[in-house]
Amino acid sequence: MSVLSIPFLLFAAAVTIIYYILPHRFQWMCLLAANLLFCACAGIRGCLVLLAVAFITYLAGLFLGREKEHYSAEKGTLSALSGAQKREKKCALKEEHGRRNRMILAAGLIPVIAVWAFFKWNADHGSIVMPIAVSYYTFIAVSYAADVEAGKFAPERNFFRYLTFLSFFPQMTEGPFTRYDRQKEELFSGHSFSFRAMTEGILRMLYGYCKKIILADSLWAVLGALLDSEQVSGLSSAVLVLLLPLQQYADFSGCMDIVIGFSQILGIRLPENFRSPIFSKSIDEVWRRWHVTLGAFCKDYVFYPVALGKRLNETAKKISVRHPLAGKNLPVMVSLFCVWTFMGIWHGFGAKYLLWGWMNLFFIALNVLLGAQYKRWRECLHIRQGNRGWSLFCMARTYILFGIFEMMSDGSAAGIGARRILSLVRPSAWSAEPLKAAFSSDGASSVCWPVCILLVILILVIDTAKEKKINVMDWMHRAPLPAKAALYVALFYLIVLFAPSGMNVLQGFGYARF
Amino acid sequence: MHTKTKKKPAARKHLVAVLVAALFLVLAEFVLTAGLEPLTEQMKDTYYLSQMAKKGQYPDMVLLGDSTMGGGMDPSVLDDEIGDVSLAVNAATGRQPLAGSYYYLEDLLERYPDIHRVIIGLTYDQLIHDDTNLMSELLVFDHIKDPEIKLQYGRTFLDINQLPYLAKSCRYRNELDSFTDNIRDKIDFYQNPGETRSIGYMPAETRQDPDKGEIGMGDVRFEEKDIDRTSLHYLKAIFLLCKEKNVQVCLVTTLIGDAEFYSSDDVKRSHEYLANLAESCGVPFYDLNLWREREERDVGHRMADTVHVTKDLAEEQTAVIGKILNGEDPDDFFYPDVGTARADIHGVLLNTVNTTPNEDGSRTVHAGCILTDNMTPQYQIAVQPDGAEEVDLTNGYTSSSETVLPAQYVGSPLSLIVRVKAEGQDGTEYQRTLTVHIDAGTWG
Repeated sequence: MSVLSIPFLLFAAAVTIIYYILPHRFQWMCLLAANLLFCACAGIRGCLVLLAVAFITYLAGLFLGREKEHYSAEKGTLSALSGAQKREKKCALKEEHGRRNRMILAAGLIPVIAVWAFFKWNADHGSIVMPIAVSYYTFIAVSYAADVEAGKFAPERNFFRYLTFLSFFPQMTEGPFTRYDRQKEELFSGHSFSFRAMTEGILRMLYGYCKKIILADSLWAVLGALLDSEQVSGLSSAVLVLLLPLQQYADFSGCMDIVIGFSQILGIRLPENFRSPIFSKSIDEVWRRWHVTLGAFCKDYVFYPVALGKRLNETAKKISVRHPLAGKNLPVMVSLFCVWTFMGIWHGFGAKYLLWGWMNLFFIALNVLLGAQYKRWRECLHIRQGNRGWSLFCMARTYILFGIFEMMSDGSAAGIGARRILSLVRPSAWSAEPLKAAFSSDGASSVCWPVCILLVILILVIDTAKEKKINVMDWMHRAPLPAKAALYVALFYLIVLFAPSGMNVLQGFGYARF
Repeated sequence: MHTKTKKKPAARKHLVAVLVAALFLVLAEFVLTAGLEPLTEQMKDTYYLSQMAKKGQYPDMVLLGDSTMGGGMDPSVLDDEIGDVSLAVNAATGRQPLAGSYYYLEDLLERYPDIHRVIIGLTYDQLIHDDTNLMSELLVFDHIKDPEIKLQYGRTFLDINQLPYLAKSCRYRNELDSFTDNIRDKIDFYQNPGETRSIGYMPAETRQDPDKGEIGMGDVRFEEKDIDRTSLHYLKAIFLLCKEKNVQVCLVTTLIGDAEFYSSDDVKRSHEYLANLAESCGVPFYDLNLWREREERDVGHRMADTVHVTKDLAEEQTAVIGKILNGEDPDDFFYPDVGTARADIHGVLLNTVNTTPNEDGSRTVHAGCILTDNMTPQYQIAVQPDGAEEVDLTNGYTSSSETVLPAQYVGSPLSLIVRVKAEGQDGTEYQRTLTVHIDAGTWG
């Protein structure tokens, strides 16, 4: 059941009605039933995988909790001892506790990640269809177990409540990645109906549908044809570089708007996944603004565990005796390597994804290593921090770089991606034929480009307002009733009249394939 | 108690907000539909029927089918042929599915109890080709007025994901450019209805692709094993419905081009199948392609395209049906079978032309034709650049069907002219000319 389909809207409406009819303490049960039904609609196999992942990580959490209790109890018995004996026993106990914790965590996470890797590998090689949202809930479950192990919160004792968190159906398309400690309150505290939350949620959903159905699908009508084409030309590559980031932003953030908007109707806040990435001035900033929750996951569960690793820091210390700069940067570089290798693999088991990850790594590492040098160069050129022209240049540079990375990962193979990049610098390869063919394809001919341009302007205005910390929803809330009604109707008709697919089936979400 | 009085105004405020939004939605749908939906012949017909209803005259005959019926049967001719008491309504729509015809007929019989005659148009391959699409189904859906029948029909074709298309405006989303023209046309029409009974006709295609643009035949295909069971079910349901309501029904196949009729074996199979089917159901079947005056009326040169007739021809073929309904003997109008009808067709039935590129920039022009009576064709191929004199590429008539179009002409707008002549066994000379205009952009 795609969130773009009418059955989803009917399903969402039914869930909303039942959810608000029920007393607060039963509302989460309604969500659980809806989650399972939603998953079952996508396939029973996917449902079983979800249940298995939930059960394994739930058990891991319970065992980790029990181990913690055990450790506390044993630590209590040490109070009778004193001095060196106590310290020695405490150290041994801590080490034993750490060892057992790691074993439980490994026993919980290895099968879960293996299941994910199995499906991911086979889906990438075309032998099976990936269960719905497996790449999202698997790592949400990983974060839950890791957090319990780190003692951030006590494990959830009720399996069904944990399942409700893990399988929350609005996030079963493209995330966002959530954390149990932050979502627990949202999911289980119970919510009363709010007209304002409902209208704001609907407005956000409509905005998301417009972004996805009109802009992303319109652009895809051309970009999809260019990516499918075996002919590579500089002009078509330039168009891909310029439009792919915009298409992916409209597609992915459109889905997030729909998902977050619907959750808002239920009174449940989901974390934002985008913070106006168009304003990023460097590649590392892109990843703090684009797919924010994945970036945060990588930071907390890959970067820091590696960077703060005992052995790595000991090695860095040894190296820094002879090479201080190398020793200082070693933990960061190794951690970044792990992060971007993970990022590449999370997107897919293919050379192009690894290459994509390492291209990102290269520019981020460059920024880390030469950051001080850049600053000195800027000062020499008398470019002030915050200079508007310089900021625009940085934004354009970052946008183009990001576009090149996306073009690399969106092609059918790494080889084609590389050929596309090379074609950009070969004037002889700037033929207009592939572009002409893409624009005259069936899908592209039904696109209304003025409406797309209007939407791009609207997105820029809203993102600028967000960047300036202006609350657009508050502003909308204060608008007179007829203006609000007209806006809702206008957005609805934009979708109905300007969907490029017309009466054909809509495109799925790009990030859902990961 | 105190809480109750506080909550009430908020609820009322929210209700007002919802009602205002709903009102805007209805208003927007009305305005958008008014602007996007063009003025159609059926709108004119509906207006005419409403005017007649004011005079106390209601339709007593209905025509159903696809565009071949819509543009091929003139209801005013039927009115004239049958007499003052008759009022026919042409309810055919483009690619009308037989399921749509059934529900539309059910609706019309509910609305107009005076209807006692129904003409069902059926093309040779309609039972094979599922030519219908969502748009054509929605077109019929719009015309059905009875909510219950509308719902039943909607359930037969509408997928749940297609519910947004019930918003009528979105069906005409490609008409954005003519928004103001459409509104102006409608205002003009309702201010000055003028001649309200008219049927449209399909204009002949004028532009051909030089590589692929062979003027080919309409591909009539018929194999009994390929018959779509659903279409057949609804056709029989129409017959049954007419029987139940005591309404006379007849099946009509409108004229197709000479070349298609003459050369396709599937035409013969389809005609025989339809004739047998009609006979088994006790329904008369009139195949206008078997018209005895086909040659005399020069049908081959008066078609709008391979399956649609021109307006004049529509009036003539409607008159034939009118006369038969008025009691004249069908055998006086039609040959008994396809073979006999074909034997009466003579001459050059179709010219074709296409071009293929050569390495030196020139193009080879390939001409072709369909002839009767095993005649041998002679070709003359000429080119006429826009605004210039015609140049003969073959130096008169020749037996070769190919010639070269020099590179100097390729890329500019021009007309390719193919003349074919052939001599019959009785010494009669037959000629046919095809002129294909090629735009500069078509050369690619």
